[in-house]
Amino acid sequence: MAVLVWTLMVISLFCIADKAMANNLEEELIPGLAESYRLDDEDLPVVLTATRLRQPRAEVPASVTVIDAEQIEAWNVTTLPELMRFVPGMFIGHGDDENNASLAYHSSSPSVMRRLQVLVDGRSVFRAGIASVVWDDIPIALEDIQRIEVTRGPSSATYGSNSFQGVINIISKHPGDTLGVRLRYRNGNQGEDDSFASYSWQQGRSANRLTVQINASDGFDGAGAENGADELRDSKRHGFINFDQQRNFDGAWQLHTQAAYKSGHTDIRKSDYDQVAPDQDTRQGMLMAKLSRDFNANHSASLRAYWQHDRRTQETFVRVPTALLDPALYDLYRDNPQLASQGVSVPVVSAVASGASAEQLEALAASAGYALDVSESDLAYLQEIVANTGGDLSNLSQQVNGYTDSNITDERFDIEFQDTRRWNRSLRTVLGVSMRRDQVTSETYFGGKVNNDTYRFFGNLEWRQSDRLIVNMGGTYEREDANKDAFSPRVGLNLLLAPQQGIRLIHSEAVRSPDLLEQNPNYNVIISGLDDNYLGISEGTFFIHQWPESRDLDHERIISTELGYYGRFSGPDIEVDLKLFQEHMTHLIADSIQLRSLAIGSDSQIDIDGAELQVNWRIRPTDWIWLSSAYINVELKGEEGERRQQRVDTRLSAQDSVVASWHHKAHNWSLTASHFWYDAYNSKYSRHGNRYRRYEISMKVFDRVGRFNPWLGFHLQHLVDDGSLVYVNQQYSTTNLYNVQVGLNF
Amino acid sequence: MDAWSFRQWLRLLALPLLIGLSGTANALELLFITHKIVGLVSELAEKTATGSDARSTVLLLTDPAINTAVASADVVVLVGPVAIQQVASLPLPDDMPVVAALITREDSINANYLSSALYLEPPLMRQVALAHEIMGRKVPLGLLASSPERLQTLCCSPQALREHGVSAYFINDYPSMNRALVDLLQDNQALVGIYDPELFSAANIKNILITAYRQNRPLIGPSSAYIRAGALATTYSDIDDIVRRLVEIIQQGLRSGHWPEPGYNPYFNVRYNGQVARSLNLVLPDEQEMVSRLRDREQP
Repeated sequence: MAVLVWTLMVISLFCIADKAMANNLEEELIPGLAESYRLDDEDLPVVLTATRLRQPRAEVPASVTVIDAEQIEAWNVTTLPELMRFVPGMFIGHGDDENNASLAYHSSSPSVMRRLQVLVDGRSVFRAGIASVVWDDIPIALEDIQRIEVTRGPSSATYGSNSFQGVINIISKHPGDTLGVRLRYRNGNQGEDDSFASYSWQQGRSANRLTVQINASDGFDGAGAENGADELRDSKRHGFINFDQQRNFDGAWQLHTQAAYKSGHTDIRKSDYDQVAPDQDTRQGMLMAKLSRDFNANHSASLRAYWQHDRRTQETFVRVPTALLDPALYDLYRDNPQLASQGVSVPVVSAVASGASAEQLEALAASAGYALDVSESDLAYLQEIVANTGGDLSNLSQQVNGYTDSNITDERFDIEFQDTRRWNRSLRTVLGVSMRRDQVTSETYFGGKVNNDTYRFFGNLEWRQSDRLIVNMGGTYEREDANKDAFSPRVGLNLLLAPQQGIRLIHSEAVRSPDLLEQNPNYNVIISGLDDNYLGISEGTFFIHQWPESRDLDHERIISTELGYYGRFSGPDIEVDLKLFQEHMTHLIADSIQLRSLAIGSDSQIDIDGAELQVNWRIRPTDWIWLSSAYINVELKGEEGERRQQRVDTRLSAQDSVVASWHHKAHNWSLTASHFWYDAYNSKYSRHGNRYRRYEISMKVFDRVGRFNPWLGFHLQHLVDDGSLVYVNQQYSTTNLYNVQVGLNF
Repeated sequence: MDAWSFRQWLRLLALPLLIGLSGTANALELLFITHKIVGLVSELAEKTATGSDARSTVLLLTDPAINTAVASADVVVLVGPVAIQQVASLPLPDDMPVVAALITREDSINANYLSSALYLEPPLMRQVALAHEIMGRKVPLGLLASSPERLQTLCCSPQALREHGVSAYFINDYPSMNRALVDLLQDNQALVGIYDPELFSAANIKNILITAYRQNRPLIGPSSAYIRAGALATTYSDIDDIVRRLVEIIQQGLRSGHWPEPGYNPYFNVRYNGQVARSLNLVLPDEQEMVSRLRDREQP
């Protein structure tokens, strides 16, 4: 099917291209009549200045998918990540332990999303302590989003590190565009319970908005659940309030301020030792201000500063063998992790108790079929473990109850200055500098508080060599406490075939900084409030741990080369974007970041090549079609062992994917139908890969009664293939997911 | 000697010469009366005179020589709205043909004495046609006006607009202009600007353009002055178009005695803001091609 779609698209592309080439429009402005008698040109400000206007798509040195408020309303999905299904090459998964949606552009771990940057009005919601984006914790309602610009491809040159495979840039609506009251309630068969209320008003020269949202969902139902039953504990309930103000001052100054507070509860499934589920409770707050000024039509600058705070509380009761909390075993683990893992096994301890030497222990292990190095100091730790039992080796099987947490607080201060200038008709520059402090506090992960300061210098030079050729050169230089310095360049050539048609050739490099836990862990699971135990302790530390200076990881690196085509045609009104790409990723940290993952290397490699196509066709003013398609070929490099690790990064990706959506808007109703088709999904695990198909239908009826606009909506998701996407328990017990919405705007 | 009195002296010296010349050659005399002489007015007078094989004089409303000049003129051309408003102070004979130029439709509404008038602004329906040509023929368009009465004064009724696929949004129906604008932009693909300098004032235009642009909606019109500010496109009549039509009006009136009704200029051009078009990813046809398409639409 993908092949058919591709062939049809390429043929139609050439047919349209031929026609549009003829419509070469005159670029120069005709100096019109100076209506000096009534209203002179000079009396009117140049509002849409060269620095304020968005770059024409054909001239952008990147592959960009733009999802507008119009599409967001039409698709009527319930969460932000679900919008990303419509972006070519983008896939959605769900973390197994994290209960959080994860996105992959081409390839990435299904559990933690760490290779895509996500910005909300320029504020990074990418967590620094443990690299990830927690979608549920972003305090923005879908109704308040003006557009989402997805830059598909490495973008560190513009956005700094962690803009590794791409950037999702969420831009909120101006409060002046949402004036009045908007109310909406949604209820669905998967525990969807979502209320939204927003009020926007103008006061003098400022436009303000206050939005409140509370949403809940039951999540998946589990592998064995049937007929609507829900057997998987993965519910969540989140709520936030945010305030947005845009204020204009004299002299073309503008101030944009935002503040938000969010609170949430996310169910997390139990692990082996947990007695109760280690659910997460989260509290977030943010403040942001952006001051910008248009000095003249060709020069603007902005200063943005924000602070954000993220407190995650995750507490549980556990039951563990007392021996695993023995301080001697903890010390032995640091000295000899392999021996420590065997250290409290009965044969080893019995041998030590009977006075075995280091060599005899090595021989014992060899006879059991595995090699073990035992030093004299290791033996001393083992003897201490035996001594701590008081000679009663049966204590080793004693279990003890206690309380543990993995609380973590992330805090970020960020200040950035940016200057955009058009020097003349052919030269435009963007220059900036930023400073960021990430501060993470966690006894469990870092043994207290750790900081990481990052300084960035970035710039881009756009040079119109001629009316046909635009050269973009950009880069970011970063200096960071926790990692080595990094420079990420990008060079782009855009050859315009017509004003709205161009071929682009882009070479870009990007890095992902190893996060603080990957690079500089001090990871200890402390269990307190212990029952009576043979060690006589009320608080102990689980022997497996990670300590500072145990790692020296390099940045993950990506080098991408892409050849793209963008064309916008007027008859028919169609927009086409085609991208052929090759990505070479090195120094990847493929090992899973777990307590047990002591040895982590940034040494694996993945090569990806493929093609992506996006077509937006406005058939009539009332109808549009959105089509996105991708072919992705992932090649894992390295030894078999390494490849096994890397395979997890391919679980989310489908080799072939086609997403098509049709929208029709009538006088007082609208209908949107979408079809998702993924083939050879997760192909590195299953022999031929899986297939995943589903339909979505969204309907809306609206009316106007005086100044009131009531509306009613219905959304149905029908799963053709009802298997799990990534993990086996991520399934629904029904093939139809639906919700109804009722809203009122006035 | 200051500049004003210098000009006065020059005129006093020139007047006998002018009268003498007109007497000898017996050519058509066009008298242009205005409140402010700028290059545009002089150009209009000169080119109109050339086109009508006539002679032209440009005088200020307050010029003492105006009585003499009126007496010898064949046609008086009032230039600009102030000239129309202050015409009562002029000693115009009842049978003197009076034509107005560089005025708006609104300016001419109560000026019943005018033999004819040529409006400065483009007709709204031409702007609507331009918007349809750019955005697509069936695309819903929105128009912002203060009130239905104001719309009627400036152009037409809401019903007439609706027949052309344009919905009018009246600011008076909303708590603020922005509320009206937000509603308009939500339901329509483009905003067509009506020639209302009060509404599209320097103070308002920034707000209107930025709000529309945020939603990827262009502003079409209201006149060429707004193109530099950020409007996408407009039709407009330049000085040559105005001269061409003015010459037609004068010749037809003098020849037949039937002066054309006050009206819009049938001759026009199209002007785009290429930067805005590119930024909105719009493909626009060549201006001349657009002009001929619009002319074809206007042909009965």
